Amino acid sequence: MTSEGTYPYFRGGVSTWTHNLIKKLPDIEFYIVSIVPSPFFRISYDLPRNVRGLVTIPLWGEEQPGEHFSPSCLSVLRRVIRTGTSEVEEEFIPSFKDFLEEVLSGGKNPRRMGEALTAMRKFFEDHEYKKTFKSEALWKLYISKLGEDKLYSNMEVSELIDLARVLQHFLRVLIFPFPEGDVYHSSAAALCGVPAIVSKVKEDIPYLLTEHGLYFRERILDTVRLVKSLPAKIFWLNLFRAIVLANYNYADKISPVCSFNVNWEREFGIKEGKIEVIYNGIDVNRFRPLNVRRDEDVKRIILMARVDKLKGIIDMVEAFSYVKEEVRNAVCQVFGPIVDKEYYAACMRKVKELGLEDSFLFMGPTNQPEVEYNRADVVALPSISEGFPYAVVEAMACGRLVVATDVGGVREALEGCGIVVPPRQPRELGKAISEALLDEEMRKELGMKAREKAVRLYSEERFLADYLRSYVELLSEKKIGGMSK
Amino acid sequence: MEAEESHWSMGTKLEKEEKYQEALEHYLKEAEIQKQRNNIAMAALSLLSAAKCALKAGDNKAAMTLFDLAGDSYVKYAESTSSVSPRSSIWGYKMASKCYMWANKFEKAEKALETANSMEEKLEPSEDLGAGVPLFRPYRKKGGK
Repeated sequence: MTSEGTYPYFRGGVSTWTHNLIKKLPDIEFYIVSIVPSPFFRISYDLPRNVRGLVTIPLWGEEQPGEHFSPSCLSVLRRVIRTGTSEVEEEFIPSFKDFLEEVLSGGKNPRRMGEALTAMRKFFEDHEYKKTFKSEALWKLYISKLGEDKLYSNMEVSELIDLARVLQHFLRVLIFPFPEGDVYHSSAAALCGVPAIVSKVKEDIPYLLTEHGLYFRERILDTVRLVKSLPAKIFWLNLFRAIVLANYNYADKISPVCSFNVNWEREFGIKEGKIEVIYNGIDVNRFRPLNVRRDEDVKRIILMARVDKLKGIIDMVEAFSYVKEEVRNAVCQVFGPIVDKEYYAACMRKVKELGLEDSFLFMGPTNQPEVEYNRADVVALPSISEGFPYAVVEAMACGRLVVATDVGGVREALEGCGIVVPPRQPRELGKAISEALLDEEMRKELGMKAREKAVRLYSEERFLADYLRSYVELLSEKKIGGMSK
Repeated sequence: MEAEESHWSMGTKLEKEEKYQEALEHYLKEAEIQKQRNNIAMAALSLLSAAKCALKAGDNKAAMTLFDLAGDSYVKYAESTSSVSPRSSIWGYKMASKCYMWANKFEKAEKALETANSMEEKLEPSEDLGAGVPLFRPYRKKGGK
């Protein structure tokens, strides 16, 4: 199981999904490959007993890449000695050139990308990574390739160096040991899919890809927001596109968590037969309507979300100010960790600016989400981007009315049993929540339908059966496919 | 976090080393364990792996028997999962059909395939939410498509 910025180091939807899947398929042995920003994070989960190993790949924060694996001095020295100018020029540069051309073309030929990654990985088995990237010939190639295009040729040297530096860090994924598995399962069409791609090219190991949020879509949002210069924006988007396409190309099966993702996958030219939606599953016995103590004097809206830009909390603050105009006794509680402190500060400023200090409350994470859902009159989800959010499905299973933004798989989850509004439109969101708070009959009716739908489509039992079958299917097909009859 | 190797892992390793008879024995042990744990899909896969090893070892008679057993296991799996995951069930019948073909049990193969097809017809098509998908065109330098 490969992941990026999630399990087992960070909490969130993808990590919950991974943890549940591993823990509840105890007869399958898992090795985890986890890409993290730096090696200084702590594991946030008790790893289930069927986890046989964990490979952590920090992209940053190490002087010598892979140093926390404690490779012997001798082996490092051997690799350094082997990495001469001629080795780099003859054995590494041709595949790096293919890789770079693929990046610059935005993934014109995903097979070429897969082969280039595999060849570079093979090179790093015997050669030293840092010395390779200090090669003058490599730098010359990089400059000349970018210089061929007017767009990049006008970039400042500092920008070119920055791009090269980040690219070099991304390629660190190639120097870590990849576990020998029967099936590779990546939780995103991202860098974390690289071990799966390489294993597919090298040993024909089946590759299952699950798409939660759409990696490429989220990278577009990030790049547009964070990268200032146009050439750099285009460079990164083409790089991400090339990585995504290589993942799609080499995956034997793609299992998006909702049909919404399928549209994007089709857009990338993926064959329909390769795609099968597997919805996130939840424990519908834990998440069910409960008799809980409620304060009847207030109308309670809850959000079950980490405090992060993608969750649209700031829109919710504004939406809530409109709710307060209609429903004076409304309170809004956000349950979840603060992962972006700057964003949290911005939310708090907005709360203060709108005079909502007494009624818009950040509660921190909860261990009893099922109780909080049941205490709510409305469960809101103001996100800007989502895959198939657990918060929505859990609230549905608790028989609550959900008012959410129309992002990712939210619409298909709430079809016929909840309310969706366009994202980033706080007034619309506020209006829908107010209407829901003032109409008890509607809340009950839609809440009942939501529970029915959750039990029918989003049970953990079904989710586990589908993934178990996917693993067995890929292996069975490989076994029987290798024979002719 | 090193644990004792499972029969599955041993079988896979030995199969790679082309020690088919030994691999077969491990796969059979794995199938037995999985059957006891009621993991019918895994038992079916182990039997299929054993059948393949028998075939590679040149023991066609044993291979036929094992393919037949694997087919039976895939059917059992398909039956057990039909109420939870119809798609899993359909796949189980299709896989059973392939195994029966290898076992030269053509009637059984035909029947399993018919069941799969009739279930497939009844399966709800997945929703198409095509509206509002933003398009993205990659930038490529002039001369590229």
